[in-house]
Amino acid sequence: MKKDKPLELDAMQKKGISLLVPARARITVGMATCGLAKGAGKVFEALKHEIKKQKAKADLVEVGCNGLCYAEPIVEVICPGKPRITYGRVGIDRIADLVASAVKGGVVKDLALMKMDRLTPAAGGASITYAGAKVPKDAAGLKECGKLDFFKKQMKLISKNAGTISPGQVEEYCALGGYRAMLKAVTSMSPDEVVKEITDSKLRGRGGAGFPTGLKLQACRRAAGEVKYIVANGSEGDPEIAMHRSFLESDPHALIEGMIIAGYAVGAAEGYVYLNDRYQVACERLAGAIAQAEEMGLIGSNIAGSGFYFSLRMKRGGGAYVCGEETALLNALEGSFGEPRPRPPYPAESGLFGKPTAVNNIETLATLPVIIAKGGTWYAGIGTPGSTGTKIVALSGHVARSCWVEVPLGMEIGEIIDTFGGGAANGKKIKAFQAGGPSGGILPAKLLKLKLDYDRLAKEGSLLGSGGLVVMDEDTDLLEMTRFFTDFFADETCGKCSSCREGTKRLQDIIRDIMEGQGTGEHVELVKRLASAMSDTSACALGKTAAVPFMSVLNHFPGVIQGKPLKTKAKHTTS
Amino acid sequence: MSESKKPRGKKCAQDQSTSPAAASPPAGQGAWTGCSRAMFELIIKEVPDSLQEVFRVKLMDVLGQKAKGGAYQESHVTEMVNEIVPEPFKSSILKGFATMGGVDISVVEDLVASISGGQESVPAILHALRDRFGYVPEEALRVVSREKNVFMSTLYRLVTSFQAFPTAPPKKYAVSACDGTGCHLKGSGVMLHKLEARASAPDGDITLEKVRCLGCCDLSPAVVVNGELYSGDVARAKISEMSGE
Repeated sequence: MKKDKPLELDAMQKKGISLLVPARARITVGMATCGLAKGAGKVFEALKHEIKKQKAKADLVEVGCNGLCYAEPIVEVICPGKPRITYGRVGIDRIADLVASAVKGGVVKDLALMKMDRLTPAAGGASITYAGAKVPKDAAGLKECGKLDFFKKQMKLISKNAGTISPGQVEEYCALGGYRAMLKAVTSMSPDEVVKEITDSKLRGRGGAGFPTGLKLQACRRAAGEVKYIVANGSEGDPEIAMHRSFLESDPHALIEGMIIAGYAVGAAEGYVYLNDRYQVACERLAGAIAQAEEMGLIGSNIAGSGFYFSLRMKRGGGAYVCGEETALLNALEGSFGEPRPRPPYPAESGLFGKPTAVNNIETLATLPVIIAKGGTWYAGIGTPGSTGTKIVALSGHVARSCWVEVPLGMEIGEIIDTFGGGAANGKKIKAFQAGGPSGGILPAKLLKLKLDYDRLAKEGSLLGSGGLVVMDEDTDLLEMTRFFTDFFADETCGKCSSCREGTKRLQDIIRDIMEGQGTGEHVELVKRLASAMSDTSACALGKTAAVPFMSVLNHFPGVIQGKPLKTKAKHTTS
Repeated sequence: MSESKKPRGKKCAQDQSTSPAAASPPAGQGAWTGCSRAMFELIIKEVPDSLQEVFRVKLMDVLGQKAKGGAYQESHVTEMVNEIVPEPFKSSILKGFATMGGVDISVVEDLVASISGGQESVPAILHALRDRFGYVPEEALRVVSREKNVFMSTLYRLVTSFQAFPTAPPKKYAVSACDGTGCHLKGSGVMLHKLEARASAPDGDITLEKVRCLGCCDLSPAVVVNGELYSGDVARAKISEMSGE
């Protein structure tokens, strides 16, 4: 048994590569939520029908999202010996053309976005070659994927599989070296060595506050007790594009591998994934992936003959923003109300069912395999000294192209918006932006020069958060957006702390008064006092930051609140 | 689980005699099947508080006659209402029956029994109930409360604090409308106002739920209507259609 497992991984990798670079045409459809929202399901059915009709020798495969959400539905065709061709905005009426050209290894020129000769992961290791040096005539005009700014400026460490592999095929995950890091950790490293690598990487939590992951795992490892837990926080309740959903829908095994490594590091035999209930597709794919991993002996007892036991369960959340807070999440997992617990004790000492628990964001956990594979020092070399590694960032709002990307930390926010999102939509100017969800407040365009960095953003009263970037153009009514965010907090407060429960309601009242032209200087003073009281006395970040949108607008756009609306009875209109 | 092998009816009967919260009809006369019990309680709710106990005894007599010593069936309750309840109470009660969505208590009991564990299993049960019925019926919560030994007040708070558990059956159009930041910037607020007005109208046929992201941020507005996703212009047309414009 002991020697069988590594061999199996070799076999799985081999099979995975044979699936990714097949002996006959492979047609893939991006079937993450972003694709499905734009009709990928219908495209898939139409392709299935057409392949049958034309008796085409082609395999049809569901894959995830490669980040080009704006160009969905995306279809890719891989013919033996030919470059991988990506088609965007594929309509049902073009399916017949696509299938016909796919079997011949041709290109449907007007739909093609790019080609790919070779897939080389940013972290090195196994790569995949689709086509040789000779460029087929049809593909001559197409740009190589790696030469497009959109991909060139990304650093896909954890999202390298997204859009390439079928989330339902563990072998395809293994093709680019999946589960190797887990194997390395449990068979050749001690838990302390694993924790040390993670500490050396200076990885910080990707969910919001940016707590050093190594410290968290170490605290949990050192905590007294036999029974410990690893919990993956997939609550992601931010009111904007959900990149962790896309990621999970595209590559669920990356999370599983990360969780096994984290479990091994802290000495936990059980892991829970808490997933937002809205993420139906992600729930299904993760459940399928867990079952597969169990079947393959990747989780369960005596993993790879190491004697390490780890089991994994998925729990659906109920859709509450506050459950993104780790102690509220633990309560929800226990079947109790989603409200935060007083801290200390921290979850690392007393978490789920009172046992030491390490709660980490999905993205944080999915990063662990990369760190183990390449080493903590290597990882720490990416990004900035204080914020190492890469971050998945999703762009939405008034941006020309909605998308999600993985970039090294330290990249300028403006550059991210321009390079990947194509700047503001319709040629307008950017007035403001938001980073890190509602708690990040609203920042002015002059801060677009800010680097994507935990500390730089915190200095401006914002945060990196889960990595959402929302662009607001020159026509945006910032007062209306302040109201929107304040309403959001008022909707989502759990009601445990009176300062948050009542404070969010009072903020709503004040904004309503200001919007109706009844605002006075006293209102502003009141908000300042309210903001500091809420920040001081709320148990969790929801209450602490509920006044941030208002305060950020007050600080950065004083005219919006203290200018016209306070003097004139300007009637507010929603546009 | 051996629990689940017990005859359903018996369990309900047990509940009547052991649960102090539920007013006990005479025990031993028979068992409640389907939603008969919930339907019976609905009738009692129509009566002023002070008269409820008197009515309960009287109605149980009538029901007992109909059941002829056997189990109380839904048809018995409906028959009784048709025969002895005067208008306008009759119509309102029958309407109430119609919206109960046919919650079969035995289905609920099977489902609860299939998910093991204590209170930590409750969210999974609530999800299963929602998936099965489209909402979380109060009668089902009573079964959960009894079987998992969790107070009704706790369950009520759980259900109402999470978006995922509606407490009433969906109407003709079950709408999830996206009001995430991205969509809001593109004017989803206006769309929501329209839908809200329609949903809160007394004769409204929309069940509206605000959601935070449907995954098509560049094609706002976005709505899911009865499981089908609409975005952009198609969504606008659908919203106009639903709001009766």
